[in-house]
Order: sequence, then structure tokens, then C-alpha cells
Amino acid sequence: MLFHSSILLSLGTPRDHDCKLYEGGCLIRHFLAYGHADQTFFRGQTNLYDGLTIPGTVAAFYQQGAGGFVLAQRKPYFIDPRTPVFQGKFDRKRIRKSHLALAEIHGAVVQEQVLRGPIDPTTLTDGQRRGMTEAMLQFQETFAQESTQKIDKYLKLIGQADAEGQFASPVWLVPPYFYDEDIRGTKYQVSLRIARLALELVDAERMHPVACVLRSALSSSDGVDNLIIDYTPFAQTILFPSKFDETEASQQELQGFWRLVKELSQRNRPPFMLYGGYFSILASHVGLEGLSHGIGYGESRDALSPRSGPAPERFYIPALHRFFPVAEAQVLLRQDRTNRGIFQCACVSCEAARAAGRGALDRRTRGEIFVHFLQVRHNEISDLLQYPLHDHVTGLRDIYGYATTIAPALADNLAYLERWANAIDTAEKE
Amino acid sequence: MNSDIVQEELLMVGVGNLWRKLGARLAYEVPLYERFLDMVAVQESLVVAIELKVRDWRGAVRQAAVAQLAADEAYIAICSRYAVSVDRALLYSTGIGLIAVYGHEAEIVIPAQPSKITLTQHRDAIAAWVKPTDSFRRDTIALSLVDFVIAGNPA
Repeated sequence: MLFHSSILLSLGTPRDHDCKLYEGGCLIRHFLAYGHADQTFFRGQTNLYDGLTIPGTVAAFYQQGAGGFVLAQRKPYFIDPRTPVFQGKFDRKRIRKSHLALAEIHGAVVQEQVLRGPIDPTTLTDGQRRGMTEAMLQFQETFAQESTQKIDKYLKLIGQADAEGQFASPVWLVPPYFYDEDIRGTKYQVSLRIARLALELVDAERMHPVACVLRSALSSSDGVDNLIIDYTPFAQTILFPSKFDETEASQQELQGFWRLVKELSQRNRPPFMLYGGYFSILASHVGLEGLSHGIGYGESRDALSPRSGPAPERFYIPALHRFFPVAEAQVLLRQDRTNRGIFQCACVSCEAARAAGRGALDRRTRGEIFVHFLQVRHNEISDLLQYPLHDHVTGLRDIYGYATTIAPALADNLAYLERWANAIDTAEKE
Repeated sequence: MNSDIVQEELLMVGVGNLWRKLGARLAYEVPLYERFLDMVAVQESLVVAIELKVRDWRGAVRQAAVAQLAADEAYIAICSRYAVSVDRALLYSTGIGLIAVYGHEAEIVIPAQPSKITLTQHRDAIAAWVKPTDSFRRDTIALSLVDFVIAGNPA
């Protein structure tokens, strides 16, 4: 592995709760979901993230463009198969080309079935499951070699003359996976069997399966226990609780997520969060090894949704650790300005926008809002490592009290801060 | 059609009558950021935003808080039957006023306080949007819509 050697060294022992910043690396890997339309933006901010998650649709449909770009960055990356999309009930007559391409890299069975309607994983035979697993892993294994047609163009864009040496394969391999609402459901079992099958096909250390269940499963103690038992055999599990919007999740769901991370970690299996936000970052204190999200979106996802596209117009308020619709963000910033002034952002992007007369949020460019978010996220991760968990929890409660005092009309939208604090406190006492 | 939406259209009549009596010009569905203000009344140089809800006063308060960015004052207008359940302490702490609507009549129950977060450029843009000639036309269109709703939904 090319990066974060300190993380690997730390895996053998329970995480240090003083959270010291390890020299030469950080304690949580910060991946960004690659979006083909935002290449320019990614290229300019390589110091603000550690790696790239390539959605299977993008990897399959834009293989040369996405592959060339990602390989030229020489950043760690992996490909998310996004298999549950095929379980969704969307109009097959209007299926996107990128979904057809995704079906193709899943192999012949999925390719045949995708146009007929939602795929029921329980109807797949052992042979069919093996076929799709082999096809998906093969696609990932050969991605670096097969995606270099445009590599010279992308190397030139970042000032490198020629392709020197080999381009890295994905940092880990992810077998196909399925979604189930229920942790003991039949689709869950199929997904688990595929993960076990993949262990026979590739090096166990490189094989990282995805556990994809509905977020409410995390509120069940038995459900969390089952996940821990089922996924402990794997080197690392990629967690994908569907629709797990951290700002909407119940305290029980947040506690379940916290315990899942903590107990997998205590078994030297620190997990990775596929769609996470600030609560996931805090969970690095109990062993979450990394998280991924998009730029300005993608901090949660409905596993069955085929939706994709540009980020909505939202602004990330650093002290509140979440995106708000522009109108609500403006209310919070205005109310704060006449009070303590702690919601105001002094990042390079915000300062530049203000200097250019675009201080008001509705006058910011998309790029400015993106860069602001990434700089803030980078700072959140850095700050996280400098203070013990208790200080962060106290901070959440303080900011909740302050925000609801200055903007009581928006109190309902701020309740997540208190839920996060309560969930962490309760989970840590268990 | 959602009955609450129909009822909100009916609230427009009472609230519109109230502000017309006060000599204000009116506009409806005024764009602000990614949303719309239900009603704006411009009384001389004063810009007042009013959010209409039959009973969801919490939702109305959230929207009125945003409206304070573009208005000198902001109100919520609630059907009189439900106005009694509104949290008065929340209104006092936010400076948002309360209007109770009785059929075609409405009254100010709690006067709004001047907004402390008004953005001048938004306020001025709205004042310009509600020009006297245009407002007459918009008012007429909106009232026609209300008449249509009433005629089509006699209950």
C-alpha cells in the first residue's frame, strides 16, 4: 500500500484515545467519490483528500476517461460495484447507458436480466453468483492495464511528460454485493456468500466486501451483533447502511453504527464507511479507518436508487458540520454575525469570494462552494486528531445550545447535534 | 388536490384583505434563493413577508425565519382554529408575528418585530418586484386563482 503507513502500524493495537497525530499520516482515510464532470476540480485539490472511490457506473461507462484521470493522479482508489442498483424498481425502458455498462462488467447473467426488471439475488444459482463475482473482480484487477488509452493526455494536464512505471491497481477489490432491509434476510445471506466466495478467488487482505443493509437495522442490538460476527472474517468491511443520513438518523441507529465500528475495530477489523459525514469522522476515535463521500453530496445514499448527477446548491457550515440549503445557511450566518460570529468561515475560498464582492452565499460560484467544503472537511479531520473525543462531544452540545438560541426557528433542523452527542456518550458508556 | 393546499389558497383571501385595508401592495410566490415567499405586502417603504399555513405553524415559522432575510418584518398566518396552539414564546424570541385567519377576515394577533437579518439587496429587489402596476396585475391573478379554487371547491 502506498500511503498511511502509520494507519497500518496502528491496526494491531486498540486505537489510542488520546488521538495523537501520527507523524506522516492521519488516522482516517478520506476518500472522495469521483465524478466525471468535476475533473478540473479534483485535479486542483489533491492535497485535500487521500484517495478516490470510483462508482462502478463511471468506471464502466467512462473507463478510459475516468481511468486515465484517476491513474494519472497516482492516488489510491477502489471501484464500488453498486450492484444493488439492479435490485431497484426503475423504468427499464429508460435505463441509462452507464447502467448497461455496469451490468456488462457484472457478467453475462446480470447483463441478460437487467432489462427484464429488478434482479432478485435469491434466484441466482451458485454458478451464476460465481460468474458475476469473477467478472467483477476481473474488471477491477485489470482496470489499471485496460484504462490507459488517454493516460498521456491526463499526465500532460498535471505536468508530467510520460507514463513512467506501472500504474497501481485498485487499493482493494470489492466483490458484487446486494442490499437487504433485514440482517437475517435471504438477500443479505446471498451477499455474504458472495463475499465468502470472493475470498477463494483473490488475496484475502485485498478483498473488502460491502455490508449493505437498511439503516434501521443498526438500531437492533441483535442486528449489529450479527453484522460483527458475519464480517469479522474479512480484512476490512465497507459499511453501507442505506439511507443513513447522519443528520436524520435516530439516536439508536447512531449508537448501533458506533458499536459496530468499535467492535469490528477491537477485532482488528477497522471498517470503512462508503457514504459518511462528520459523525463518521468522529467514529475514527473508535476505529473507523476511512470514509468516502462526494464533493458537496453523497454523505448518504439509497442503495436501490439509480440517481446520480451534480451536487445540489447547499452550503457547509463548518461549526455545524453539515450542509444547509442556501436560504437556511444564510439565516444562520446572519443571525450569528450579530452574536458570537463562530459560523463565519475564514477558509481561503470564502476569503477570496468576499474579497471579490461575492460574500453572500447566492453569489458564490459552484467551485468556491466545493473548495470551501473540502478545505473545511480537511480541517475537521485535522482538528479531530488534536483533541480527545470528550472535547468534541462537549463541542457538539455547546454549538447546539448556541445555534438554537440564535435561530430558534430552525431548532428542528439542528437537533442532530444533540443526537450525535447523546449517541456517543451512551455508546461509550455501554 | 391536497386539502391543506386548497385551504392555504383560501387563507390568501383573508390575509390579502387585511393588508389591502392597510394600504399595502401585494405579491404572491415571490422567489427567494431556492424557495418562494407565499405573500409579500409592501406598505409604503415597509416590506412585510407572510407565510401561510393552515395548521403547520412550525413549518411556517421555519419559512418565516428565511423570509426575514428579505423583509423588514415577517409573519405567519394560520387558520384561527389552529392559531391558539402556536408557541408564542418562539414567536417572541424570533421576532416573527402571528396573523389569525377567520374565513375572509384576518387579524394581527402578535405584531412582528423588525428583522435583524435583512439583506438590503434582497429587500430592495422585492420592493421593486412589487411595483404598483405589476402588483395590481399579480394581485388580480392571484385572486382569480382563489376565486377559481373557491368555486371549484364549494365545501
